[in-house]
Amino acid sequence: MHDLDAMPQRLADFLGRHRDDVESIEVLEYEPMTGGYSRSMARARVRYTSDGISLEETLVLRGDPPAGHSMIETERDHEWAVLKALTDLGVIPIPPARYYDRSGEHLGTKAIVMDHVTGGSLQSLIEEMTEYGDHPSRLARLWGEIHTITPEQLPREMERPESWDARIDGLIATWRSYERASVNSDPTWRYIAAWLEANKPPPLPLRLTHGDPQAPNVMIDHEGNYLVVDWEFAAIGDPREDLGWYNIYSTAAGPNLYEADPERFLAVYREATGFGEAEINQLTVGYFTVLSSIKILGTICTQLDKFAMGENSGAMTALQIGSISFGHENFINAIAGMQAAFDAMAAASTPGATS
Amino acid sequence: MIVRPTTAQLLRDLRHELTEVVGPEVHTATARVALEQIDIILEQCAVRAESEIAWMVEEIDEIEGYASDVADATGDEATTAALIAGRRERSGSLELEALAADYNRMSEALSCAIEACMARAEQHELRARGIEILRLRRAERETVVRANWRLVGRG
Repeated sequence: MHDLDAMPQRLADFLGRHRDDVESIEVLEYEPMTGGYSRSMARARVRYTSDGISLEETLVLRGDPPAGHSMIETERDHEWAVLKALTDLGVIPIPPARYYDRSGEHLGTKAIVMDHVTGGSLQSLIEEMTEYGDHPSRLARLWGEIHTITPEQLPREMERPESWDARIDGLIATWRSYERASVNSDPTWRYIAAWLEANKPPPLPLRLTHGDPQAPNVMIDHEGNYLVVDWEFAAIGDPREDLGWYNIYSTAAGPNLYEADPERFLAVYREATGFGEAEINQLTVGYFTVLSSIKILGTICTQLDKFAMGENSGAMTALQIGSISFGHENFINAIAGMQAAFDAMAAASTPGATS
Repeated sequence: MIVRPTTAQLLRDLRHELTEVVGPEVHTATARVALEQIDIILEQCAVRAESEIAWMVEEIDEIEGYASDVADATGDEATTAALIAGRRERSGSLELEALAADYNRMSEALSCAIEACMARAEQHELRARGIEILRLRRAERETVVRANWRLVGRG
């Protein structure tokens, strides 16, 4: 994928292995795309010719970056399995996944080939807006639709937590294990883990989680439809993990459509999922804003450790020191706010307390 | 040793050169994004070059005092052990690698001390003091180091 001179022919040959219904395939253009932090992305203009008739389309390739230049390590096999399952299921709007070079022997690296979305991302759209119209509600509904997908509908190879408690305890333990393994001692992460352990929210059924839900991962096609991309972090977990991650990511790189009107956002989400107010409220979203961040901050931490040990490099990775410290600041403040709310509720429920 | 211009001044001059001279000649989207990322990192390096040694020394001393108070008040074994290790192995050097190792060891004592207070409801005042160290000494300084940080090149 990274050899720009060789790729047009390599891609044409690879597509030819899947398209015996056409006489010739020509890759007219091939160019790297910006926008993928974790994967290398490229766009290709392809011409198919049969019986003198030519058709053209644009495809997107999504593959592993060159060795030593990865900001986040994820598994393409896992992503392909999820994409195939969602493409077949047809419940969540995604750009259809077409082909997969499982070994990397054809495209130079493990790479997924998928349809190109002609519109831009929701991020680029709302960055230009001062009023967000119905986008907050549409986004709440979209996340809700993802969270209606049950573990039984997902590929067997996806990891299944034994229980809700096992999932949450596992995530809390992850904060500690990444910290323990890191070249940096991080008292903030240790404090976060201790606080999360002491303040678990009411449980919800385990569902499909996207893992990295954010406006740049929602594309808008030319008819205005939302399409969800970048499924590499998809897992079976607590649906609120996604709400929390959306909240923290959008606070770091706004606009944040949840924060615009949290109660309205959550009402639409509850309607889409059927979940209740005891489980879906601003405090539980706050809890998961902290908890779920470890899934991506942990991998960032690992890559920064490799950077420190001379095993990784690159400006994109170095830039992520800011993500870790942004998390520190926000999580300390978020926990302070939640703790104050819990203390106030406890005081109000104490016998003899005045309202 | 020529100490002026300072490291921070040199780094900021590089930023200026990249933005004003190199930037206009860069025409591909991926290279423009990389240049913007480099600009952010150079500014962060400039801030760190100015203050990180002084900050680490100051925080090591403050954490040592705090962890010592927690160890005395709770008798927590992990805090005591981390504190002893932090003191015994402290190099006292201002060389960056050695100081970073000192800082990491004392940070472990801070982690243990806060955990000890979290597990003991009666230690709410010491717990609040530990969280305040996290907030004031670490998070607020990290905010200064972040400088003009933003997630460049997404979406």
